[in-house]
Amino acid sequence: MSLLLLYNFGTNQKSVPVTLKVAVSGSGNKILGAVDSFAINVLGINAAVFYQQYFVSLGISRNKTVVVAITVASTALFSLTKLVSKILSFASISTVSVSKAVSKILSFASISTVSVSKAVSKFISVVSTATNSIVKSVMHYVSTVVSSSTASLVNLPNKLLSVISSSAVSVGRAIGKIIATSAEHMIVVLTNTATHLIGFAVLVTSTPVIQKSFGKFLSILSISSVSILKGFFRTLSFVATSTSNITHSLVKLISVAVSSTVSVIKNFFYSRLLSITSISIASIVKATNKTLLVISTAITSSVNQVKKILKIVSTSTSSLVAEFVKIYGAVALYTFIVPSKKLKATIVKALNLIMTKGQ
Amino acid sequence: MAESFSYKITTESELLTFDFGQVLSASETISTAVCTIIVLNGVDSSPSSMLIGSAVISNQTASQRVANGVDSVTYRLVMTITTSQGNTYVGLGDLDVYTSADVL
Repeated sequence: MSLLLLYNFGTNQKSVPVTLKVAVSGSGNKILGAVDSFAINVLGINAAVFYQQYFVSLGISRNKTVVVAITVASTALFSLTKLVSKILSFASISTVSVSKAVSKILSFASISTVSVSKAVSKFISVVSTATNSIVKSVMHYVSTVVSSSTASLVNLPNKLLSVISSSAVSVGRAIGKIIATSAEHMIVVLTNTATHLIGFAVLVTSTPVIQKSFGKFLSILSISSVSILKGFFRTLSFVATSTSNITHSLVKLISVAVSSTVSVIKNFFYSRLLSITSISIASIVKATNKTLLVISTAITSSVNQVKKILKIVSTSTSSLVAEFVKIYGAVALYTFIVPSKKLKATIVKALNLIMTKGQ
Repeated sequence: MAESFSYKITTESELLTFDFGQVLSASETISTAVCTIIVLNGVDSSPSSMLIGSAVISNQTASQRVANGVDSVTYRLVMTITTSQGNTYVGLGDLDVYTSADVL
């Protein structure tokens, strides 16, 4: 049985009840008494809101609409609250707001603000030319966000998240197996992404900031600053043309290639390999690695490195302070300074000093 | 020029000894010994808390027990002694402190 939903749309009025009708083939129009098991198609030219009583009005939203499928095309404000549906689809040229919607599929296409809160969907797709905000959404499968402006994603447990934005992208506490964030122009901020990420890729032309990320793989390609704080990765790869900062990261493999300053601070890595290629300053402090390789054309500074193999190739000043290395090799083309402190851990303790005078 | 003791792990408690045997004459003995400690590199707002008890005199040596310390800080022990012949000598000993995780 094919169903077609018809409706009357009140214009320039608020809270105008609209009788929803359904056309059943061969039996004429019928007033829709319940929509729990039917599809609803709404083409709104003004603000439209679903009521539990199946109204369409201009203003305040109501809750707990239960439908199988909802398709909305609106030219004005749209607000849906506590929708339980299998398929929810929007096409709007104005603001779209969805709160506590439980859908298997949630799809947006908007040229204005899109806001999704506590949506439970297996699939969510958002295409917007303005601000996107998705908060506490639980999605099983694929999430795609395409935005030409700010995109903000908070508490997203996804298996796959893909974000393409030409402006700021913010992802907080996302839990996904695979997350791919691609931002073409502006800032990317990833905060508290306590994730079990298998793959995580960031492509930006500006500053990416990642805090407290847990992933198996992280790849960042940036033409500006890169900053990672407290990331726990198996593989971390950087390609940046500007400043890079890595702090408190636990990784097995870290590779950094930048054309500007590189700073690695207090990385208590269980890294098997740390490789840094920089044409500017490279500074590494308190990194614990098995292998460290630094290639720099400018100043290289390594402090308190504990590792088995350290190799530094520098075309400028190299400074190694308080190093403990088992195998130590270094090549410096210009200046090379190794303080007389311990380059190798001693086994026999020297607890007695023999005082001499003028000798 | 100051000599260096072997590095100390923060959890170790060690008796560090200054041997003035090559400075003192055969019959000269140490009358008093006072040990102080300063920070050479790093930050430790209370380095004196590393000194456990007072300096101990034994023939021509003076010893001081040290414990604790801050990771990656270099300390200098300054042992000042007076002798039975009225001489005053100062022995300097540098001490690096690390955590056990810093040393392979």
